[in-house]
Amino acid sequence: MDSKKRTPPKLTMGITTIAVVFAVLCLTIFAILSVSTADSEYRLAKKYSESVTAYYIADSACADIAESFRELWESGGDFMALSDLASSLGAHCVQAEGGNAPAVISYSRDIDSTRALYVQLHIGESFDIKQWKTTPTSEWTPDDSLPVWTGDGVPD
Amino acid sequence: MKGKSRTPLFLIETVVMLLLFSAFAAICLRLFAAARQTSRKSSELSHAVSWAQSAADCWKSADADVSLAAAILGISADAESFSLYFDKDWRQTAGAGEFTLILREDGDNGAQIVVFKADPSEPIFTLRAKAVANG
Repeated sequence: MDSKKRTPPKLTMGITTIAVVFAVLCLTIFAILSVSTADSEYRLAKKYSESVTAYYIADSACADIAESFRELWESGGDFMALSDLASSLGAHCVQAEGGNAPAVISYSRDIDSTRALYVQLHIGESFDIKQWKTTPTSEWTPDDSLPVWTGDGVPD
Repeated sequence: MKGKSRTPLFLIETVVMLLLFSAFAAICLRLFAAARQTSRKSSELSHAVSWAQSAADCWKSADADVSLAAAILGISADAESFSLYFDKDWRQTAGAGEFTLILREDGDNGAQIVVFKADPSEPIFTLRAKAVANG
């Protein structure tokens, strides 16, 4: 009587199931890690290429302006003409002290939100590029915060 | 009383798990392949940008003289352009390789640099540089 009573089917889990679950978990974790690492690498490479492109766009703009000053200097433009051209191009023009001192022209073009390309030309007897450098446009504030637990909130 | 054999149950479990593993392995392999492809793309882009920047800087420092810039890079140049060839590991080669960089003067003291794999119309990276003569 009792022995003929059917027992409900049990959910059995053998070594195969455990091994497969472990293998699938490992595979999934490694696959996700690989994809996320590759994606980060690609985003970094993209940022690098955008940064270089932005630099060369600003560099070309500065070269165009320098070329305009060079053309004017070659055509015998005086300080007033250089000064007029400078103000029309958003550049700063001053005459250095001295009898035959060159005109000092400085201007900058933004590369991105944090950097600008600064150029300084000396135009007198010769046409000289004195400075052609990248400068920061905003002050860098180092992150000196140390978000560690200081023990606040622990009862004495 | 004769005990029931567990062999069919084990076989069913093995088959089910094999099917499950095959499905997950197929998905994960696709993910690994995608990751490899993305990784290769980012490596190509980084190298292309570095070489384009090098070529542009050489050309600028040579006062927009293509022949002089080519001499700095240790290669020969045409009248208005030079080409650099690289193998799959981005080592410079003498002849045609996996990747090609072409610097071509486009007049007005400017130069266009294109880095491509097989088809120049599908470049990996392009850069335009402009030089100013000092003096």
